[in-house]
Amino acid sequence: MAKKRRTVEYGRYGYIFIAPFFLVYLIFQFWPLIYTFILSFQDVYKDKYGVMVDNGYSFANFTSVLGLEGGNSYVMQYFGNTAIMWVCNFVPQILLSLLLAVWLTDTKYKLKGSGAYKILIYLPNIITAASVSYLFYSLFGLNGPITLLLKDWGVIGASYNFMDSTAATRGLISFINFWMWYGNTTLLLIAGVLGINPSLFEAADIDGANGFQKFLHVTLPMLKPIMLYVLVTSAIGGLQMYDIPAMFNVKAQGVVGMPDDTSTTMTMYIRRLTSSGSMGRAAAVSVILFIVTLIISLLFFFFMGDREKKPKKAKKGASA
Amino acid sequence: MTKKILAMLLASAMVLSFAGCNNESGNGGGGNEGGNGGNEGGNGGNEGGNEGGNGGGDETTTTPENTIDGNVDAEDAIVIWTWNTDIKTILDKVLKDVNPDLYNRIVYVNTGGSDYYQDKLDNILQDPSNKLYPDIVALEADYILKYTGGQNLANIADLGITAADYSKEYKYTIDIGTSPSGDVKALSWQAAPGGWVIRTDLAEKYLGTSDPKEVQAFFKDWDAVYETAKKVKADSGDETRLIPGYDDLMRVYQGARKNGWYGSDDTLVIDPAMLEYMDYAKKLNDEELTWGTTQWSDPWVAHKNDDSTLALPGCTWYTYWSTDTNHFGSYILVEGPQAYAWGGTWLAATAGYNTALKDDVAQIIKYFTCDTDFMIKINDCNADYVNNTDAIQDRIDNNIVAALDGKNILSDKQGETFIAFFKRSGIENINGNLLTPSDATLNSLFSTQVDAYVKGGKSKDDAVQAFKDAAADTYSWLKV
Repeated sequence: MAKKRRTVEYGRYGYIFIAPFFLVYLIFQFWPLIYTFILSFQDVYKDKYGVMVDNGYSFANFTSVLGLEGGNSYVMQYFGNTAIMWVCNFVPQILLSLLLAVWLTDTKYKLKGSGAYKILIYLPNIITAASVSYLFYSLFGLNGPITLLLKDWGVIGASYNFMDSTAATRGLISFINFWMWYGNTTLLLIAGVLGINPSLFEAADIDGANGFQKFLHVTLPMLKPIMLYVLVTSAIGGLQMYDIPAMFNVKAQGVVGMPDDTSTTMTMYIRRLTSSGSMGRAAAVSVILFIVTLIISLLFFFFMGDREKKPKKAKKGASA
Repeated sequence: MTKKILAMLLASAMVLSFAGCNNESGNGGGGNEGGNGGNEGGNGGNEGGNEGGNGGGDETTTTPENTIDGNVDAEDAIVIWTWNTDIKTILDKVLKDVNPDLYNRIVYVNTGGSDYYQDKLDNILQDPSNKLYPDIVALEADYILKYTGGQNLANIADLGITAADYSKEYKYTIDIGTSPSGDVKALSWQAAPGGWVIRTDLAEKYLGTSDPKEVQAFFKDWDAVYETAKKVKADSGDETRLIPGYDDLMRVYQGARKNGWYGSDDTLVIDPAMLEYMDYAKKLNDEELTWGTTQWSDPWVAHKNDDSTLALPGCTWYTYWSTDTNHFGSYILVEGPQAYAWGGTWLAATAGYNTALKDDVAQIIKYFTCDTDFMIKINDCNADYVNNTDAIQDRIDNNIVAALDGKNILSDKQGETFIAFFKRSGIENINGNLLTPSDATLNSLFSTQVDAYVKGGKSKDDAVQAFKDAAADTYSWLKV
């Protein structure tokens, strides 16, 4: 009898221990999430004196930010900016990370100092994004050392300014993100490659496969689950890209990405609307961002999750 | 047993992080920002995904930290919020001697830069029970009207400060600090008429004179300024240009406006002066007559401080705050092509200030904005053009030169004192009605489009239209 009671009490302790997480989650994550949805249908904003105006529930926020009432669709414009900068950073990043992951794990090469290298490529990720952003802004700024060096070498014209060029600004933001995150992606992929049964590679070797064939027919299919994870998390992070562009080439208050609004991202737009008091429309943009993120993630799951059976087949085939 | 302890530790760590979050939300974004975080949390709490945008860390990584001086836990603490050390200098150098007791009780919150000041202020003002809730806030010209027109400030009259107390202030500063319903809500300790700060050594070299009257002839109207810019560039072999960037002129042009960004009917007005500014900026930039910097950026500071720039359009506070201390003594002031005013800081008591300390709060505001002796000491410590006609007269009568830390700011060639120069700069004619509550953001959006027109090859009409669109999109109530 006494024994039974004890176990029940242990169970209760368990609930108490996990309670803080759920409390924090409910109050600071779940409720704000729900509230954002409510707010997005509420036509509320602060007037010029910061006094809340509430025009009741409607779709006005969505039609306004999507430009359906005529005028510019800032959501589309900024989604375009964000998407371009994400793709320009992600495609080279995943290619380089794959290459590095394969090289660093290949038992044939037995690279020396690969441990140190893994640490080194991860280092940029440790620095605060804001500092990195500011560092690059200084380096490539009007009188930045790299700008001056390139001018000396005659690579760029004497009056060239990286910060006046859309391509250069977007390119640099993409590069910073690439540089900060390729280490992280490489480590994830290394973990994925190490999780592949080595006998598969041995079998492929015996079958006379070369490095590229092994990569294409063994490594890549077996990496699918981890690739899916990398793609989805990266899409989520990329669409919410904020700190680098918001600190890089911006007008005061970080609400407009220069030049000419071409490096403003979705989250910077949300911030601009929040700080101007347009709560309802800021929430609407957040909801749109959430839905877009959801769709993109689901697409990844649909296309990549579908072929999850293949590795099993491949495994069977390889071991047979 | 060890498992129990471990679990306990983990649980308390969780609770602590919870407390941390709570604190953060006091300064961080409002409901919507939280909602954003929610999205992210929903997608897996693994460090906010992979590439770049780690939404969860936004507030802490890009917004500067507040610096807090003083004991905020004291019963009788008076909390002052501001965005730089300007007021702190006056507190340290003047109030400390005048009223050490009051000085010791002040809690000084410096938000580290004006870019995020409004956001931080708006959040803390929602939370009167917070021990850092300000009793006194500093407000800059670019956004003061948002607060004087809102519900977050106490009436100056309710503090026991009467019109007689501030009768010596310049009228335009009182106009700006008055709410639309006619209550005075904020008082300023500085008046900020504008002028042009010129380096005498460079003026002698390239203009052949450093006499303020003769130099003024080179700046008498915008055509003369343009010719001067060409002359300086040519004569110096492009070592020196007139000004660091064309955007340095925006505040000067804004002073020539007849209307602010919008009037009482909330309709966006683009004053002809702003369109003229766009053309003038384009002209200067096309001929590379400026260094093309952005005001307050690092390259701007570099050009402003070295020998590559002849003139800086500035104002009272600019002259002591933004010029290069190494060149103190070699500056002169000239009026330039037109009169303008730029900025200034006001002090106001918040609606929820600690009423038990009413007299102390009132005393601080009075010291800064009404007390002639105190304001003379402000001028002594930082050379500022104080907002008190008696104090100004005292400075002129005693022929006090403007000095910061014992170094004269202006050259002897000026022939008059800093105060005397600005006193005759048309300070009585400054129009306090050009300001709007949304100037900071609208100026930012406008100069984005000026840049697009001047440097990006966008047509002027497109740029103006894009500004209108962006302004209307940012402020739903603004009609374009």
